[in-house]
Amino acid sequence: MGMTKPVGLGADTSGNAATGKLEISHATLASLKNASDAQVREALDEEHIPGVALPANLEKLLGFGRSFSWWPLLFGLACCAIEMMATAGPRYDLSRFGMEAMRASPRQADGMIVAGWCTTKMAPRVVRLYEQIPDPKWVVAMGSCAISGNIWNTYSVVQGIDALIPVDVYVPGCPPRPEALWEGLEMLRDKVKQSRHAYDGLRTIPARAAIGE
Amino acid sequence: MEARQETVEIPEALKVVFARLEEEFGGRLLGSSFFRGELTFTVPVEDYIAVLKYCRDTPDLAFERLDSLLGNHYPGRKEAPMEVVVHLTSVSKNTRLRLKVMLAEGQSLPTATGVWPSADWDERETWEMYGIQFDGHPNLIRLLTTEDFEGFPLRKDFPLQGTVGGRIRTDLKGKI
Repeated sequence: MGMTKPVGLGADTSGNAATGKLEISHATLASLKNASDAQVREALDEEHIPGVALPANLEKLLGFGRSFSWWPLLFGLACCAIEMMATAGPRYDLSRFGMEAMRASPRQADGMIVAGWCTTKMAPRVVRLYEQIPDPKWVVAMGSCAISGNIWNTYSVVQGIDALIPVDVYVPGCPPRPEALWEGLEMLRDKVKQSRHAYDGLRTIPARAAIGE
Repeated sequence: MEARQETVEIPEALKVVFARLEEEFGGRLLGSSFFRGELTFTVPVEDYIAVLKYCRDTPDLAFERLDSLLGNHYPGRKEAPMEVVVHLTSVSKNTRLRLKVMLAEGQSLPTATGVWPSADWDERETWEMYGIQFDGHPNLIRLLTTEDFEGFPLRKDFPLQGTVGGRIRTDLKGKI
């Protein structure tokens, strides 16, 4: 789960809660910055605080919200896009997870599913679309071609989309079944909940860094 | 090994096409074949445009549509390694015809854009992939590959992984 479940303030009368004040030491706050929910609960028990929404958990709260409305970019490169459409369709129904709203503009999207092989001619467009998506953003490489180029070890196909942009989740398959993409999107939701990204703080574009620009 | 049996009847409409083309161009055509219901003529370069115009304008043939125009590369054929293949369709007669032109290395072909404007992109692609020049083409530039691509990728001697290669494409420099 993304955040601790708040406990009623009056439920526990021991410790600081008896005074009606919510106090927590700085040391505890600092230690909770990257803590898991269980650790947070444990620390709260030690300080006899019945449960509060900590600032350290704000990111988790945001991530929790984002994970239920992750809108991908409406963007398909090849045959994998057909499976992506099937995933978004009524049978597999991505709208159960709030992902059905595929935005046609990168400026309104939360990330992209790179579905299919990417040619060298398409590569600059893929990078541009990726950069136009506002932070925070997540990328799914869908299918063997987007992961590694698959059998197209040729003059015109980029050998793996992660040579161009940072990738969060790889979904193998040729093409992956909608269940596989769904599994990948579940993994992505875990990352979204934890606010973890593939890109670094400087938003480095791997292709650009490798070419040396 | 048993000889191949030709089981497909030659349709009447194709017999007319065959007869009219033989009658008009006669011995100048380099060859013809009928295989699995498909009629193919090999046309000399000089008569290429004349044959195309004849196929389009003769009421008996009425090939209104250019289905496709593409190239071929046969490195084993030393005299004429390049080839251009034209597929024509007659919607009114329900017939199809294939024309082949054999070309020497570096030999150019007159453009068919004056006969069917739809030949434009097909010829661009054929030039891009095989390096076959089309004289008089209005806009012979690369269609599918990047603008600065070097080489003709569908030639048999082109390395599959290209002349740049690698996971990190240095040819993307300045583009991304």
